[in-house]
Amino acid sequence: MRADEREELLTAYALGTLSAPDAEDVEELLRTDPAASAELARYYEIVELIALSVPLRRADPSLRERVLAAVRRESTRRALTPVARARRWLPAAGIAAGVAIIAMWAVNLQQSLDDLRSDNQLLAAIVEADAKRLDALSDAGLVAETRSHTLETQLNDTGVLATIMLDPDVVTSPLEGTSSSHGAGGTYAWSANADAGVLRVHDLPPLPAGAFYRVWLEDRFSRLVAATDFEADFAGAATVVLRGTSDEDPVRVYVVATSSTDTEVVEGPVILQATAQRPTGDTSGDTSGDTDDAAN
Amino acid sequence: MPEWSASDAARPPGPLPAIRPALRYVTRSRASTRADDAPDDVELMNGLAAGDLRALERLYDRYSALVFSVSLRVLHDRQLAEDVVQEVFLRLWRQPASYDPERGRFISWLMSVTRNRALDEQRRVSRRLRIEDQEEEPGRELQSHDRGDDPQLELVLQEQRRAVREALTRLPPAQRRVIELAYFGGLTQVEIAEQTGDPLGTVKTRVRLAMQKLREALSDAADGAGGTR
Repeated sequence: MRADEREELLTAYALGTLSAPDAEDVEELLRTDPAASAELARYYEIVELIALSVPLRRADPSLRERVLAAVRRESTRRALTPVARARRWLPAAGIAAGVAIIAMWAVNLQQSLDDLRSDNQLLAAIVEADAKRLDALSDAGLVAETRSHTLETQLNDTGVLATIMLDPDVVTSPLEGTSSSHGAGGTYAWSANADAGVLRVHDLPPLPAGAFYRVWLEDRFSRLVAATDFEADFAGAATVVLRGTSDEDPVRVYVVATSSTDTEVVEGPVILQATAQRPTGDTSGDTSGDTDDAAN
Repeated sequence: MPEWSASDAARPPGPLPAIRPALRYVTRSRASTRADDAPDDVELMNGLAAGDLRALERLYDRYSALVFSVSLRVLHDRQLAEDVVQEVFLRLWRQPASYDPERGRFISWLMSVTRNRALDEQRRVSRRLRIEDQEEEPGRELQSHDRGDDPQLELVLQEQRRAVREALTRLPPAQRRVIELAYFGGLTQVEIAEQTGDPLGTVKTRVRLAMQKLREALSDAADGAGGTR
């Protein structure tokens, strides 16, 4: 290879402008020629300096607080969900941890939220029912795989539920029925710290075959995101864990009946809806943390 | 009855949420040069590893305008560029160990992360610009006052940035163009040849010559950019 050809390859590689076959040639060269590696390192330093040529522009001043708010949210979530991380390493102990969380959850809510006790029982019933169903399966491999997946999902949901319920800043709102709700109702709780929420619904009307319920979350910019699909039990009840889908907290939630698998299209009658109720004293209308700026 | 259907997909039922409140602008001073007692970049990254949010704030104040400006140069869209800024600083927070001081200066690494993320975003939203149509005359890009820094910004790495601009300005326009198309446009040499109509061999030669000249001109700047390391 001529010296100028070698130089062409190295400079273009550093600049990231080589096609894949040429890049492979350079990587082969780097494996066999230590001097090429040193030369490439020098070119890398030059390449990254090119960025400094841009005229400096100001971002929206609110971006700083948005970034820091996102970091704070993440930090809080990390701190509040040790069980979610532990489950990856301790699947067997996870079951016990889940039970412990349920117990802790129930204790914390006993005085203020009587209805959480029924959630606890419901979760325990779900675990028990699923365990029985799994035991009935004959294929041992399928049993193990399915059990692992189910327990992991349940444990994850349980951890999120516990996190939400332990969050002193959780915001709870009643779900309002529409003329399609036929007496259905429920509550909606959202924890900005956990970036997650929970819907508890009851008396949902039965749906025709192929239809199910879908939860849409709407943020303050009117952006709608399909959060999850679910089916109610025989009594029309369900407890649904919602996870944040964007950097913005949802300000409204809708439960619709649909048979569409397309989560890009909002479709179907609204059965229940709720507007997030702001904590007392927060009149900013902005959930992104601007209040910190105001305090500055 | 508040219902929606596929034909009404753009509008949710019921009243729309409150209009976004006016943003509260907070003026924050930003030091043009690092005070002697200010922590350097590596110390701040160590602070991030220890979960120190103030370290992130200082890095943000030091480099956010640069991260934003590079992202804006690649994406030509303020909202997308702000998204990249957020992702870059969240990455710093989540993975401070991904920067290894032994492998280079912090600013080089940060610019690499920023550029890669911005190019990924550009590809994702299929907004690759027809730079030939949108790019202004390169010399004007680098020299004209109205394309210069925002005068309200205090400047970081001012000497290094001036040196890089001058080095690029001294390149022949055709060489400067292939560098900018490759770096900010994320184009391969083949794509540059297609876009400019030049033979591929000519593009390769221009890249090589331009990089050699930049290396000669910027060896001092490359060393000096470690001032906040």
